[in-house]
Amino acid sequence: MILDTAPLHPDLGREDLELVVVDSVSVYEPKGEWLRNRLADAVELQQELANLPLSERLRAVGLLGEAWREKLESGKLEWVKEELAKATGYSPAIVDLEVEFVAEVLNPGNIAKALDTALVGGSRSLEEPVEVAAGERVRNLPAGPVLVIGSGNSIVPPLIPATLSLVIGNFTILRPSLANFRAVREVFSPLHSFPLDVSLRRALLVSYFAHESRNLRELLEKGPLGVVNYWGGEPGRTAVARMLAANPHRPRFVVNGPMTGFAIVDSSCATVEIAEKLAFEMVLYEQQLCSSPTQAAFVGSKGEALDFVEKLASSLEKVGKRYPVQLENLPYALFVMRRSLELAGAKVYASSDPSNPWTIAFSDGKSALGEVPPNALLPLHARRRFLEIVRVDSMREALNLVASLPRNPAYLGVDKVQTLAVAVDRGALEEILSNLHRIGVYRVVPLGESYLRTPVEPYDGLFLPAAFSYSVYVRG
Amino acid sequence: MERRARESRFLNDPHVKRLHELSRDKGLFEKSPDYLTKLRRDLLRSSLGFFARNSDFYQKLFETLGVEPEAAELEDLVKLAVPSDLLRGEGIEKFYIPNREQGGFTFRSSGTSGRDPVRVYRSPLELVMMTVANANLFEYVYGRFLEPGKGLALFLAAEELKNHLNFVAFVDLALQYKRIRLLYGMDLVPEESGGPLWKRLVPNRQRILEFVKSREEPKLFFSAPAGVHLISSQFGSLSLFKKLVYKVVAGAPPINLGRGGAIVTGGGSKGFQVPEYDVIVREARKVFKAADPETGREVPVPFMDVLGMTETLTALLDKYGVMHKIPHPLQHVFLLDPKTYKLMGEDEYYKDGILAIFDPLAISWLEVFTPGDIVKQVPSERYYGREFVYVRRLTEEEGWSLQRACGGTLEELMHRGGRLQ
Repeated sequence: MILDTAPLHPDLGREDLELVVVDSVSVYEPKGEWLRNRLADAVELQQELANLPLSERLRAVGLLGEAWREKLESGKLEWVKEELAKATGYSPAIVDLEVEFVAEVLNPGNIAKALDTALVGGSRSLEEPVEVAAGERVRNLPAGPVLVIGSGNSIVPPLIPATLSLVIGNFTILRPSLANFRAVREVFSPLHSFPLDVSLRRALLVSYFAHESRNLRELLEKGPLGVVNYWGGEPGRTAVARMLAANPHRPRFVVNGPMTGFAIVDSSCATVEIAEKLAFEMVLYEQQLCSSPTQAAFVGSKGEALDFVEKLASSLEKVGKRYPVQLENLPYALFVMRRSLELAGAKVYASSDPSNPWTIAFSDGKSALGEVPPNALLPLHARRRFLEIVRVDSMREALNLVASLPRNPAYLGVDKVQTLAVAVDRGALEEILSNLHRIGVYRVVPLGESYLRTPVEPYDGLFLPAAFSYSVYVRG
Repeated sequence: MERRARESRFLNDPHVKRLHELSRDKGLFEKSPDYLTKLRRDLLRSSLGFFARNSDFYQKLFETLGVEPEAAELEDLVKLAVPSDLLRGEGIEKFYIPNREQGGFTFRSSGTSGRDPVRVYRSPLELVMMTVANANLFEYVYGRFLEPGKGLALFLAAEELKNHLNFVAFVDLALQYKRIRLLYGMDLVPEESGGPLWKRLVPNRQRILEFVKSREEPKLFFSAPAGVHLISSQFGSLSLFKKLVYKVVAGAPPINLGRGGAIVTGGGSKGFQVPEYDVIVREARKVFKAADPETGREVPVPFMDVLGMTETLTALLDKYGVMHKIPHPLQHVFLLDPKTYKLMGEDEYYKDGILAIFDPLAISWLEVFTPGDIVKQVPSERYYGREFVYVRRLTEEEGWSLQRACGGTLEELMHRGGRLQ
């Protein structure tokens, strides 16, 4: 079976493509020779891009956003929605939200703000040296070519690094996953037809590369790359790192590894409103975001905790129904895990509705999820609308749970907690903030806002624009 | 074993004493479905009480699940049913009561699934109750009393398997109880590849021939469906000349099972490609012959099939064309809706359900489990009120196998309407 993975680049002709067979499927990739030629020209191309006014680069991205919105409003993206819902298992209502977000990601104002925050000298430093101290100036230049190995099963995640890299002036190669390739290509496809400087139109290659691809290996081991931005976990992360270690051009390796979210609620905030917010975070994207809370600590008495669990259960019933998933049966593996949790001492509250298959496991004092035998454990990415709430007596114990999450067998393959979503009183928040070094999280946000980011936020502890550029210091 | 069972200290427990008596009671097969349902409900309550008394684990579990032993209903079994996958390997250990009696046998599953087998320990008292209860069930389905010491049986398996495979153990114990001689038609070759036991079997021609030539009655032939199919195909495809030679040497084909003769299958396909059961029966009836025990007239060979698992103390049996699978009167079979895992009504006939079993005769662990099979229930005029039709193994739904959407960042929301939403 040949999959529709025709790469996107204006200079790419049919004769430049290679059909790569992987198992029973075949995918199109650019030929190695074509890639080498593009990369050989990349430095010159990046110079041209860097000399283009930033406003021109932002305009290109804005046009992409407008084009997407037009297609969306005229109903031309129904196939994208159908494909995504089928590939991801998300509720069609979630996919509707997702495709709307695309235009917002391509908002030039947001991107400019992100650059202003992330770069010493702000966004203007991408056009000229900017004085940062008396007589001292900084100019930020593209560090590329940049290869973005995007993750996931929705459109938005690969768009953000690719767009930032492009605006900074990098020759950018975006390799989405098979699940979202066609949707991501659709986002960038109008780029070639816009009345833009030719260097901008040639600055992006969207291409799938098979895991065992010879072309990908050559790119990673020998390609004159400046930055490789990898989104995902093992074993791909180590495989890519090994190949990059041999690359004589020593590209910067920027990893956005697999992480998860954690919620802390204390008894003073255990309201219906907070329960509804938590329920929404569990339903949105089926907890597939690295920020989605997948475990929670409740600081308070058992009675208060169970009362909150009841509120959350009612909220999940209500919120989840608004975003039904297309599932005919509850998976047997879910049944096995729920039963295992009970046998491990947890009290399980669960839905029997396959279209809204939520589960809450209430554990007292320690994580029962960590005691479920491996053969009964659904991996994190398969635990959807699922939350373990561990009741603890103190914030200290709650923070211990956060810090120890990567060692919990139920979180195998997860690097750490990325986002801590909190609904606690002021004093408790202070205690959290004074323990940041111990718990190692990258974000602390109000519960209900895990998925919300401002343009000034770093990604997993670092600013992507800084990762995709290098700073030249000028004195005198 | 019987001596050890008689000496069991658990016989001082009124609940276990009652079970011991009930396991022997053939009168149960004449009771009404309502009577038996109530009996099983009472046994559930006394069972839960027994396990709560003898194990902290069960005491806590019942508390967590909100099950009160003295007020439990059969519907509560849904909360207690353990998927068999959780019993694999060492998984079953936590379910045993700490003071279970030693000196019994450990049975293990065949390993067909390629995963860790299930190993279940049975105490001497359990083995005795299992033997008697299964023998009684067998006679009910077979349709008549088996005279002790009369007849001959052949099992197309190796004797070594009787301590491992439930179906073999079930037959061996029941025939021992009836003092019917059992020949094992296979030998187990030494382990080389480490494959499952049932793939290391080779035929023992001498014992098979002894069975074929024997004039004892009734002759009972036990095998996996694949074994019956193999013999039927081999005899069925013989040339006329070879048939004559076999006839002279062995007196077959046809293989005469005599008055009351029957073929009993069990153990599933064991991964072999075998035809539908109907086809196996049809082809076998061309090769095997049997006669009515009363009149001596030739009848189509009766076929029975055993659905037993390592985890079940008593099996479910059927008789082809006569009755679908029926449990022992004390075993409670209930079905879960495959969509929701909720309890299905006992009158929800002809619908797929996930098989779940409670066997009160097990006293080393609370035997409430889902083996991972889909069955349908059909109405029945017999003691159980329902019979069961095997549909298929449950396929493990991986379901949600997609990669995570790491870093799904929705900063745009912050700007929608110019404020946090």
